[in-house]
Amino acid sequence: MARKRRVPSELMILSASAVVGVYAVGYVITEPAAGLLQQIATTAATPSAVSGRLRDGTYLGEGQSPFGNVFITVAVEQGRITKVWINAVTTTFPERMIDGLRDEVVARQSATIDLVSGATASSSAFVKAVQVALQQAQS
Amino acid sequence: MDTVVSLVCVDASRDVDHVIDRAFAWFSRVESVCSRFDPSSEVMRLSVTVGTRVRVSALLFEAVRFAVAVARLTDGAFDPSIGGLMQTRGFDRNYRTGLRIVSRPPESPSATYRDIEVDSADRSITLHRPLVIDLGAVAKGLAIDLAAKELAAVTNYAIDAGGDIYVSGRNTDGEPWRVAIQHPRQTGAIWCVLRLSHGAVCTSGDYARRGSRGQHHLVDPRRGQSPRELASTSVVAPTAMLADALSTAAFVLGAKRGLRLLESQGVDGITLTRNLGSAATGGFGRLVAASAA
Repeated sequence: MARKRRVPSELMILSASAVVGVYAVGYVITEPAAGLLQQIATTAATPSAVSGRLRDGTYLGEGQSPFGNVFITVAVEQGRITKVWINAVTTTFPERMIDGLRDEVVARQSATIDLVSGATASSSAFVKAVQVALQQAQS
Repeated sequence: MDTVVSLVCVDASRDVDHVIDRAFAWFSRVESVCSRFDPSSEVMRLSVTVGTRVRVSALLFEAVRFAVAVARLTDGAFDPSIGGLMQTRGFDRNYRTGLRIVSRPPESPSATYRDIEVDSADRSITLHRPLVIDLGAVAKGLAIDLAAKELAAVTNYAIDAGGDIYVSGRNTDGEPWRVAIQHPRQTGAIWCVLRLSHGAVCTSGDYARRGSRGQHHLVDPRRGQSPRELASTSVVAPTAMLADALSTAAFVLGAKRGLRLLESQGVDGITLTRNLGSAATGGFGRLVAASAA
């Protein structure tokens, strides 16, 4: 179905202007956020050369979450991801919660995902672990 | 907000540390203003003041004004006055501390969003009946949007606040961000993957917080019951507050009317029924990079 670009809806305008409205009063944020919320900040450098090619081998990856860490191994054969193992899980959530993601990675061939909408923190540590492993396979 | 917030900045220099701190701080600030689980929050102090015009902070004002606008548009399928209903249904526990909210302001069972009067002229709110304002479906989105504005200079970043997502620019591979949508019935599995270089993706699902007797945290304010048609709704929108509120509203409305609402607001989204039947807006398909077999 073709979509026409339309004038922004009332809600669209209202939601965008909310941010402007809050900034306009000039809050000074000084209180430390730590202790109230669990936060993870990650800064990642862009790979110098982005290539879809993966080198053969097995690669370890670790993903961190506030609930613990996930350790995985990714096997690459002939440039393709053939298997993903979960080596260890130190999270408070059970391993079976992320087990299904292993096949996803193989099926999608590193069409790895950056984020999951609607997910709780369980999947994100796994996704990060796979990304760490695949970064090694690419470099 | 009982939420893990994570932030990814691509190609970040050391200068952004300060900006990242400020971005995170918005989540605490929004929570301190908008949390229903903290009796000393500004919204809870407002909730015990009936019949009096109260001048409120810009943050609370914007959140309430937006929530009331969504309520009006959806004829009460979305309604920020349901805080009292949520408390009586057992969603009265601070999920971080596990403490039950004991101070319960008297509330009128028939109160609706129409009893919340919002006046832009002096940034005031008047409650015409005793009610507890629930900003659960807008506050997290607003916090994400405020954090996103803080990060504007960074260009390439992603914010993940407990599954509510905002992305900008490119990921570490230099490509548009790949945002997956959680499979509503298989933990750890995904339904589809979207490619997005700017905007928010929020999902409302019946699997998130379960109450008793098959009831969950999403409630049809007009019936006081959890809707039974959908398992989850995901919305892609320019702001997280809009995506957050519209995914909640569409969940309550069901697939047909929910998608019509999304189309009317110029945003895209997908609804998944309890039998995993999917339906989406006309523009959703072009966002999808891969979908489950």
